[in-house]
Amino acid sequence: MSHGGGEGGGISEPNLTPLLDVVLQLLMFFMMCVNFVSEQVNEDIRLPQSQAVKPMDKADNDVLFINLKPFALKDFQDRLPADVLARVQERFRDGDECILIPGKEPMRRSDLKVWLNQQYKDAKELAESHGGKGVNTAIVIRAHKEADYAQVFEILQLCKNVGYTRLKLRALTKNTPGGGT
Amino acid sequence: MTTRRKPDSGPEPNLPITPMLDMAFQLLAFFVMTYHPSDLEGQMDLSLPSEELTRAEKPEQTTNAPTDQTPINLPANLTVIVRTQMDDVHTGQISDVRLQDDAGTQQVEVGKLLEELKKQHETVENKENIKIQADGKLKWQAVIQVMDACQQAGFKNISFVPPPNFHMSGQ
Repeated sequence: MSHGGGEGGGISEPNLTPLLDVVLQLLMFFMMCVNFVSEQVNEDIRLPQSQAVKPMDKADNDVLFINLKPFALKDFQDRLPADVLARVQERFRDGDECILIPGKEPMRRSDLKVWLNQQYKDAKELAESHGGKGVNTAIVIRAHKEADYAQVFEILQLCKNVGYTRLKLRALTKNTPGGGT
Repeated sequence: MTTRRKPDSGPEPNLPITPMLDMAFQLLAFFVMTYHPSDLEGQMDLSLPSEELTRAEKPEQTTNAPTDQTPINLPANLTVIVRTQMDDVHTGQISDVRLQDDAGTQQVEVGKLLEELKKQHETVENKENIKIQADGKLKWQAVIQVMDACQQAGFKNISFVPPPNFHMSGQ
């Protein structure tokens, strides 16, 4: 049985370049997705599902994230250094209200009030030094679906009392039976 | 003048692609396996009173006391009152829904809330704003369900009323 024509000459090599192109593009996509996910999402927070949510405003740069969930020690056991974990264990019991700010230790509402006041003061000074009108920071509240209404309401009220007026609630997009979002 | 290149005028540069492809595949496999696509997040903008009405002059003015002068709700003719049972089994779930307007309060079945809100939307004076007053112990998922129903009924601005017996704890 003979394979192909020709004179049995040159060695045929597959052209790997297009394959490499595709692989590198896929690689780039996954690397960018991984960065994006770690920046935005706290996986401990199980957001409620909603049909009424709108896509996020990517142009909004001045944003503070407030994550709210019932405290569960297991969420922190492998993530925090021993001394921080001990402090957290002293302050929280399972089921307590726990506020998580990216880059900060778990907070209670009293800590949040102090932190928000400081953030507002700094933002106001910065805005005034740049000749701006006022603080334009948006507060994004990511509340766990098992959080109580009173807890979320108190955080909203606290943000309002400090002076923030741009408040946003996060939820997961729920597909409607008709196919829309 | 013609320049004719000889077919075997010298060694062709040979870039070894195979090791690079191997490495790229390994990295790709790593990222594919560690990639957890999260559900798409969206957000709801809250409708709030104007900034001048609500901003505290100084941070010290943000006391723990309930502050009626800084409401987070807008004027509306219709309020959805959502209650939950205070027992070990049903706490957090919706047990009772009422619609309150200028004429009075009317009880609504949970499953028929959307239908009833649509009816009310046709007749109510303020077709943009609606308030939600939920029990403090109601789970956030349930509140979001009610918000969904309000939006589907045509109300654009949803605001929140403090839960019954609400006091800022400031813990």
